[in-house]
Amino acid sequence: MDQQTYNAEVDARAAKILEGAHERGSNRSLWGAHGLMSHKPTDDEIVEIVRNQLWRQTDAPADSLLGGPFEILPCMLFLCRWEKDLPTRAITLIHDFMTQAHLERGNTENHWLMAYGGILLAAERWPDATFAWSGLSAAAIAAEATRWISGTIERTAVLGHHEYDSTGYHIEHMTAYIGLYEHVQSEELRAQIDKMLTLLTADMALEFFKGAWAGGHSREGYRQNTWTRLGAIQPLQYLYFGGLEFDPINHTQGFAIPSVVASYRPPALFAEMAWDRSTAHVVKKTKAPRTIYRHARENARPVRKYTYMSRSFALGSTQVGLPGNQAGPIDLVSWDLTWEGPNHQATIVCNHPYNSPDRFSAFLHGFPQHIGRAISTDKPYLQWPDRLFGASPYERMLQHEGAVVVLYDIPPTDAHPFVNLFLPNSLNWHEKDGWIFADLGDFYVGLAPIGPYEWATIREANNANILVREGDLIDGWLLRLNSLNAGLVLEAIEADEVDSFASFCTERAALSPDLSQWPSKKRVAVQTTKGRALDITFDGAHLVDGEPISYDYPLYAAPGVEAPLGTGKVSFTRGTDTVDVDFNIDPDKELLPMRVIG
Amino acid sequence: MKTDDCSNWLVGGNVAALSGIHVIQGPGVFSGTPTTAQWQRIGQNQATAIRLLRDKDRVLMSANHGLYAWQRNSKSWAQLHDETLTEILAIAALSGDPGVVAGCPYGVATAQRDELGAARWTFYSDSLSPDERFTNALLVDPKDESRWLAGSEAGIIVYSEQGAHTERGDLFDVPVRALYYTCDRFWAGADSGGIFSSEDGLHWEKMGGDIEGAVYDINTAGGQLVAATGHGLVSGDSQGPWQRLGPRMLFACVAVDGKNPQQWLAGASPGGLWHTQDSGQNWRQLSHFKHVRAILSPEENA
Repeated sequence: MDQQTYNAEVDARAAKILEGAHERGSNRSLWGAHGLMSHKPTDDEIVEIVRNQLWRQTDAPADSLLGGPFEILPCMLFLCRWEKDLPTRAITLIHDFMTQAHLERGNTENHWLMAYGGILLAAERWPDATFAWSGLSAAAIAAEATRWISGTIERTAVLGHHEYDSTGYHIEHMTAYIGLYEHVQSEELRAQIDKMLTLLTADMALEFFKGAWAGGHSREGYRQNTWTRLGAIQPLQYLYFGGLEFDPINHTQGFAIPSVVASYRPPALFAEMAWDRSTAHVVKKTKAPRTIYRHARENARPVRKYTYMSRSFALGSTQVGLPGNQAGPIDLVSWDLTWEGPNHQATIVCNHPYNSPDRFSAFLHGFPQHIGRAISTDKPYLQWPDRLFGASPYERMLQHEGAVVVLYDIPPTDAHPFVNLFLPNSLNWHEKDGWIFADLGDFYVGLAPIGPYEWATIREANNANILVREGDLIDGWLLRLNSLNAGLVLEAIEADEVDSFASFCTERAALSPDLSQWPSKKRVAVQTTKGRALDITFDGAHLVDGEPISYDYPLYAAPGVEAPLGTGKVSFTRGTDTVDVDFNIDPDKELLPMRVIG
Repeated sequence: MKTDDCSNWLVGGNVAALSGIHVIQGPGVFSGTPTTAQWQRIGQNQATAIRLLRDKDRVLMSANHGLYAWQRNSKSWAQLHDETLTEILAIAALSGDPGVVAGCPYGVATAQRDELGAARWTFYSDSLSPDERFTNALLVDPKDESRWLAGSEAGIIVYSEQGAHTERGDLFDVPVRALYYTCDRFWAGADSGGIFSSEDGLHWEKMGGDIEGAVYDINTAGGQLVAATGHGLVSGDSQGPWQRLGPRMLFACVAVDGKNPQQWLAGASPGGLWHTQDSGQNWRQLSHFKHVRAILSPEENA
């Protein structure tokens, strides 16, 4: 598809999103108000929207307000996009908020990007203003923001994205960069942002599976990782890749609306990459080391992702590179199997619900002695034993195409000495010789839990203060693997690669995992139905057919993608179309240190 | 001596019982007196204060998302952090401008002003392990301003020649959260083992008896040492057993009135601000606060 045709299709989908947002009434926030402007709101309506979000329905003076990334970015994007259409009162409110309120930048990568993005736009727009929250000149404020934004882009080009592939937070990266692309004054920075947006769109496209974002995620929490399509990224998946039926709720989420009204359009080939699942292939990605700043004697290593994009399913896993026994980022999802289907009915995932008093203080600065209670007061589900997401330091995995081995070596002192395995409850499961099978029509899956397990249900709801009636958050089978050395072998295979489901079950069950050295020598070997030999030693060698796996991945590896690590040079090719990105990295320049979590 | 709001007791804390990931404390620094229980915020900065420093020209507030200086002549806050310095858990005064060494989860750093007047930070900890970098407390050697003691998550780290070199103290493999200097000796409070002392900052000996829980702050009151711990306060002469004082909660800081060493303010997080006028025998909670991490005693009495 040529770029012009693609852009027209995106324009049409953008119009649909904005129409849907208006019908739903979701354009009454500062994020969503971009979608209201074509409906000629009154001045009072606009002022009310600004005041509601920035003043939080108080009459307080501006210098008593407190603002963070979720106010700083949307108010500046709203102002920059619509200044000619805004009443003076609204502009004054935004000006007073940005110059007089106490503004803080938060502690995650998306926080800092939104904060520095909005602050840069404000410093450019009001170069002579006094910014009370800073005390520095607008020029100094703009310089700091520019250093961080451009430094983060360079880091991403060299090391990979830090807060990577998050279904929940990728949108905040996209919208911030798109807003800057539209409005920042520096042409040099704008050019770098354009390239950054290409990488972030590529991240979305390479693991897009029929509306789902397959593979591992830095952050996919909030008890939604058994959903097929989830997170605030959905509007941009629809906008940029199309092919999905318009969803008036999930495609009109507010964080995306500033991007929907923007003129930015990604290269057309990414939409084709996103939807072309005609040939099974592997996608590899390198991502920056996670921030683990204590309870660790060594630095985190780079994240290496491996995602097998088959025609009917996607299986992804991660070498998370986390150091130390307390390194457990709360939202991390390291692996899952995904296919097309309703929420809860098209994902298989397992997780050790790691729990430790030191878990949160590994990346939050509060006192370790009580931060566990402090965090769980706000997010109690982070401590729940049924948790299906969040990193465990006691998990290791090896994947080759449609087969994965996941092993756990949990110390007896852990508060949750077991593993949770989620299975959809609408499938007809079969059991044979320790293997559990399902026929998904286009493909088959077989899995062998390692260790004793009990078959139970899991059902969690958003509104569950008295009774869980509907499992709108989670609803499925929960297999609790009751072992400190639990594990899982899973293989998915296209239906046309075997004679029948019955033959797959027979062949798969005949190849029992070799557990003779598990856990004594921490080694498990298994043969796939395609005849490949997977051999993993916990904290040891990862072998396929006897050959050690190299996790020295490039920045990206996939059909049509060339992206050697550390160069800042990436090339995406599809047919005769090519997108070359060169961040012009100076190899002698020290990279910006990453001072946030993600 | 010219006085202003900053001459009073200063408290970094919050009236709201917020907890959790995004705001554990907030919102700024307050000036007041414990007997009137009226506290006025210094300026409009609503950061989560973690440490406070005061000199005749300014008050420094290290905070979760930045480092700020309250200029006493202009009565305004100015940021001292840049894009590399955040979550500042420790500060200590140096000569010059901006005149401070800072410790944070990412290490120890000092700053210079750039051409736009912004403080630009240089870190000296990049070669250390994460636990060694993570700095809870800082102390500048009174005899050598280029030598800094850091209480890290791994133990004592001594930075010499303005950060050019680092050396482990033998108080190691235990987090150190409190550092203090008095009686020509360094003092340290650890997560376990209690209070330690050293002449040179490298070789440490345990002082007094055991202390239950971590030690977060150390001070002196009338010839005694007093410390904020995870289970209340303790005082003693550092030779015999420590006497436990006050309500059992995580006290992050304790400040002593220099003119009236029987009057202390102690800050708990969570737990708020607590006042004693009899060296810790009786305590009264000052209801204004829910979380307090930093306290300075009145300037003229300090």
